[in-house]
Amino acid sequence: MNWHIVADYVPQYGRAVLVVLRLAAIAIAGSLAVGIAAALVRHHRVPGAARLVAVYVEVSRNTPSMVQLYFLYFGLPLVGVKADGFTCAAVGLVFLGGSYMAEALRSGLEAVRKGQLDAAASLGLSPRQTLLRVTLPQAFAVALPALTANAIFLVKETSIVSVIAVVDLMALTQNLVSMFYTSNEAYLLLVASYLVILLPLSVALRLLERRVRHASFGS
Amino acid sequence: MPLSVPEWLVSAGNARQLAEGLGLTALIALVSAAASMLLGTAFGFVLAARHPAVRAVGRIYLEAVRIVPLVVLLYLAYYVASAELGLNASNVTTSIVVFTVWGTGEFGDVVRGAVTSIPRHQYESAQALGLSTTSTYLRVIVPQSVRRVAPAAINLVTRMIKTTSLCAFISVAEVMTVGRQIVSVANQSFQHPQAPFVVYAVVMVLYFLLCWPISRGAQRLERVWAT
Repeated sequence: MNWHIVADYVPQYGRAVLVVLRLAAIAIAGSLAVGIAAALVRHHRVPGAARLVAVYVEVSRNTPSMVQLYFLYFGLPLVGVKADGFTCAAVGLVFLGGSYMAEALRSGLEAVRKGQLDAAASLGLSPRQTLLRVTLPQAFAVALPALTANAIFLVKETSIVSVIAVVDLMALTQNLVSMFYTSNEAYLLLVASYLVILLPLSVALRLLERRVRHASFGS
Repeated sequence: MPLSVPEWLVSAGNARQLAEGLGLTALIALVSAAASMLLGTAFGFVLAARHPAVRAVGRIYLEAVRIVPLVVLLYLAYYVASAELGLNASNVTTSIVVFTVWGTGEFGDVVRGAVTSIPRHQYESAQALGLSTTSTYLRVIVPQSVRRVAPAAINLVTRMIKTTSLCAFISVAEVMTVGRQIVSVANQSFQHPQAPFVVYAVVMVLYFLLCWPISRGAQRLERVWAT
């Protein structure tokens, strides 16, 4: 282990960490948006759309993200859709994460008691107010552990985007190993970089879960 | 006269190679899943142990395999551990070992959840009837736990199948790698511009056909055995 080399590599790993963080942030935010929409469509059994969403969820959850990324990156240009690796990775991860978030939120929505809706109706809340102020907050509280698990899952899932030419931590490591044979230093920084991203995130999400627990009525 | 796409897929051994790749995918997934369930069951009792020190060691193991991305674990196992320890393990063996290390943690957590969710009075009733600890577990706790664990166990198999696609990173010739090879050959011959679209769609469908029935089975079980 040559610590001079390690020190030399730190800035490059810092940049790759930022790539992973940017990608993960887009993936998590996009997945939540897709997940909320998909969960509501399925929960309220919107005619036509519910079936479509069900197909999307089944395909997304029963195929590996690696294949989804390849299909987007190498397959879509042939039907005239061109996008760079980073965009494909973001779209692919949202496609994957959206279905996981949808399933988590759907079980959260199902856990909201009917009495809550009756109470909202008797207070004269509009359907929109009921959704935003009663149903969704409670569904989120119940689904939170699953949502945070999905968030961590998505960050880890970014580790395969080097296969579609995104220069992430894996790609950087492969380059440094194959060009300079500095494998020990590169692998050490690879593991350290993921820990720097994932440990604080996992602790922060756990604290968030603890704070929100009181909202789920002890269930 | 170039071949049509379906003809080309079946010709030149492409279909056969994909089938072989899929076989290797299934083999790695099933062996890893079976080993994970065996070891994970034991690990579940470690996580549910009375002694806090035992539990703490279990938790550390679980968090460690959960926090590092599997690609990184595969890489380290194949390029660092094998080399440093002079094991010279094949990439298939390495994959199975890494997936088992990970799956044991995941399945152990499921078993822990099941064992600890059995109401206390079940243990107490068994003791009141004069059953020994061994009998209590074998005749009361385990049969009830199996029902709670089954859906998660089945889901672990589909997760394993999907995870095997990562073996492409260490050049295992599973279905994903075979697909990539077919595409690169097609690209070199310029005969089939739509090859990537077709081949990756086919690979996607193959994975789906493998995973979806298993996922459905798990959902069914969950409904039938709802406790």
